[in-house]
Amino acid sequence: MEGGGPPSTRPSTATDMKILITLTLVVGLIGAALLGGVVGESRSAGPAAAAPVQAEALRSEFGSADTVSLVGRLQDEARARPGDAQTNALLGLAYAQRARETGDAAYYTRAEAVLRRAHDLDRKNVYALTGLGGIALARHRFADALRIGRAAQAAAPGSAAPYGVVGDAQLELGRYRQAFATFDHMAALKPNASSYSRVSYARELRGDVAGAIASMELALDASIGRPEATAWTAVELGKLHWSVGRIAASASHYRYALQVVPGYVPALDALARVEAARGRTGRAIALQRRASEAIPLPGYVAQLGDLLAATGKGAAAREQYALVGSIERLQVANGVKVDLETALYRVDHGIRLHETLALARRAHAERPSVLGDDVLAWALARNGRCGEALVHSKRSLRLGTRDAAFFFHRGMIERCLGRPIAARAWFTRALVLNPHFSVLWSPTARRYAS
Amino acid sequence: MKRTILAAAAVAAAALAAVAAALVGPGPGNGTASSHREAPLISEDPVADNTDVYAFVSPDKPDTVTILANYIPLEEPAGGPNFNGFGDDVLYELKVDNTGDGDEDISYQFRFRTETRNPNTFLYNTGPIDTLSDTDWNRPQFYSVTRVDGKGGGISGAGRRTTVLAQSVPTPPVAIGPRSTPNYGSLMGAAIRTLPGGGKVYAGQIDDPFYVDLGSIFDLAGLRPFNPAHAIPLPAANGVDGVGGFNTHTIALQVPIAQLTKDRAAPTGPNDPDAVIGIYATASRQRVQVLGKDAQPLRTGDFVQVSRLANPLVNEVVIPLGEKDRWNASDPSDDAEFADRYLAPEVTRLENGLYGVLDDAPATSRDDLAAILLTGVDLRAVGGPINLNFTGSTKADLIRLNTGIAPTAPAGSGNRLGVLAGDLAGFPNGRRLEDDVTDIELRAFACGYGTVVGPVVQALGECGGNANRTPNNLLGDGVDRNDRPFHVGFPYAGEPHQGYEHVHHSSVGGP
Repeated sequence: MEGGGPPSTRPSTATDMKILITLTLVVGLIGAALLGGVVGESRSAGPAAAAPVQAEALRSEFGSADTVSLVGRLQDEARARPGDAQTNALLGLAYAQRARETGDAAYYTRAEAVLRRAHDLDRKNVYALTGLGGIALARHRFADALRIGRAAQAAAPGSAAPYGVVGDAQLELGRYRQAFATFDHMAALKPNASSYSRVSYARELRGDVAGAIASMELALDASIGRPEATAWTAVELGKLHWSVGRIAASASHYRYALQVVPGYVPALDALARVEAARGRTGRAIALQRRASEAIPLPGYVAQLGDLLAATGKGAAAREQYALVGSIERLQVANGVKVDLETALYRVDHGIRLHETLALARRAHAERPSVLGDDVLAWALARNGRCGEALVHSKRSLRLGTRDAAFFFHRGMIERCLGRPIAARAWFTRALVLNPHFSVLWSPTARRYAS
Repeated sequence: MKRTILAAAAVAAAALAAVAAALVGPGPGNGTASSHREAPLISEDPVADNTDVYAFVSPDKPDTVTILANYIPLEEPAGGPNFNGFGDDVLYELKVDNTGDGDEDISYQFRFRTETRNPNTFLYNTGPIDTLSDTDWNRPQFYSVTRVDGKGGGISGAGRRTTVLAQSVPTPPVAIGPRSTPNYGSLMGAAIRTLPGGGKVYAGQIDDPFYVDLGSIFDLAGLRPFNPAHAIPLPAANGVDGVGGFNTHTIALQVPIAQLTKDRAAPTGPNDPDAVIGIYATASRQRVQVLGKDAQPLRTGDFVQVSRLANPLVNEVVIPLGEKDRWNASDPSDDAEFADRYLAPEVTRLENGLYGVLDDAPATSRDDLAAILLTGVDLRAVGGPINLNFTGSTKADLIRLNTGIAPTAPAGSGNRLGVLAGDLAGFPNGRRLEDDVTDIELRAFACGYGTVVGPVVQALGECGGNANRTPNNLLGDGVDRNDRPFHVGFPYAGEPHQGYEHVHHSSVGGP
């Protein structure tokens, strides 16, 4: 049983104390609920033992989601009925969920195989197609995802989920007008957490943070009764507040996520950034370590490296940075495209900059999104090609996105082009929006802004 | 065999949707604002999910109709710390059509609002909750009731008359256990409120009154009492109530009949032309658009219906998976487009395929099922004395209640087989809490209507000349009553199971 919040946190105020007590209580309550579940299960071993895994899973949905045992039972089911499309589809979705829970991309490979079998058994099975679309998205294969999403729409024209696959793919391919229309259709067909969170993201990209928060709050209400979804939505809501520098509001949402799902890893990661912003680097490192050990995503590990580096622990930081490369290689081996993420990481850390520029160009060609333009702009700038960088920086801001990192990159480009006044304005803009946008670069922005 | 296995999957569609929701979960987000994040693709929305709708002439107050609209499926009583409530952003509606066109003429709208009494804790309560105003209860929920007269959906519309009937009505807390909610009955009673004009209202947690052997039916449409006759035989066994020990949330409304009928009068008898009303319930959520300006007025604007329900099991067994989102957003007055699904039900094919012992019922052109579920039945068409609940030729999935048929028993004591057993105050004339809709529908789908209704359906020329096939007329899941007794008075449903102690899978009924 993991704790609900920063375990090493020492209560500094009465409010903190109250929160700690609450955390302890809630953790106790969760334990009791889990125990109740175990007792209930053994009690049901009599006449209900024949109940299939679907019904079991239905019931467990409102308890704590135990995907590991669900996978085991679905594997049994699939062995017993290999020709059943729906069982295979559910098993595939369960593997994909394990990938998200563990960060182990090998689960995507297993998920894809089972979902393909389900699709072959029943070409119209919307879960098989949506699952395959979701895996293509997770692997950042957005052109594939678009194709699968279209097939899912054709198979189930009355379903909202395929719109999510199509819209997400359009968004990452830089087809924003189409993506926004897709999300609008999705939200008109089914206003729920899936469509609300997508409309929120689209608004965020357009720089409408207030509108993004409003839509994400609707998503939070539409997630009631599903702890994982509630926690995810709360973290996203917190990140929106964070993106415009509202640290206290963001921390409150992260803590809420940890109340709902104790040990929720994305909340630990986000809370680490809050602690770092508040100058509590030790706590930040502890939280970031917990997050990256639970789900070793490159972003979590790199952030841990940055925090260690910022406190002068160079050797420990290098250990983490070395890990980033290994994890990315594992992801690539399981079909995940990480060019854009790798390029950004390398440009940020000054690794093989010339070679990385070529990587950024390839990534941008495949993913001409605002992020693709920003990363390419940043890679060009760090290679001294600031005129070309400016073109892509302008394109990265074409939607009006308010992203402090984008603003900072622009400042660096203007500075490189010998325009100190413009550069200072961009650095100031980045810092006014979110003074703690990056452990690595915020200090640089502060230095150059003054 | 493969075909029937797939059909079984269709029966279990409701369960599968929930599984998928658990599995197509969200992934961790990325660091920067504009990088790809794995938002969930399929999102179940339990607080906006209709589970069952009941409508009956109140046995203890026969000049009124009671409607219960239930939301939140299979609510685990030990749900802490994330206890369920109604959605503050959901528009809940109980709708009445009194003109037979499938479009509502009256809508009762419910909007909820959660208060936080102590902002310093996320806990539901910090001590025993003795009264509805107890300060130890941190998250009480209140609601408003608005009656809207006139056609059209959404929160407002031209030509519609809106009357606020009640505001800030309290809901009771959820049933937690002997320490947190020691006198639940008194909390429940205190939450019943009188409406102007003689109605009553209650909204809150209840024991789920639905009873069905989910565990067996989801296992290739198994019916434990019929286990030896299944294509994959097992020893016969008692049914197990799969909903036993689970709660749900209800919005219960009791209204004088004269406030619901077209002529605004109590019916003169079952054949009063205005006696039959159609009832359904919905949940809607606010529509948002990427370029929309709805950031400020969060609780207003266009609403999109995300769930609707009238007749039991229609959403589960009649509407295919890929059509559910569209069906849930559509209006009953447009149900003609789904009529083919009623005429050729998957369930009938499944019954025929899996149970060799049954006398195979026609699996196409089932006008009898379309009539029962979409238009109602007039017994006078076959020489009977009364109109049971026919509302005209418009096909619409509604619970049709003849308000001119008097109650036949105290609440909870009617014959579980309703009209099939000659108890005309039961399903499909309205739906009472005690009606065994699973057995009734299983028999109807298999043309095993019994000796009362069989001759009627036969006289209508349906079921291939035999509407009382044997042993089809004995079909059932072996669960014949709810796991908790019902109350004889409003809101009739049983008290919710408490998280501290409850039992699932109780074995009820005989083989």
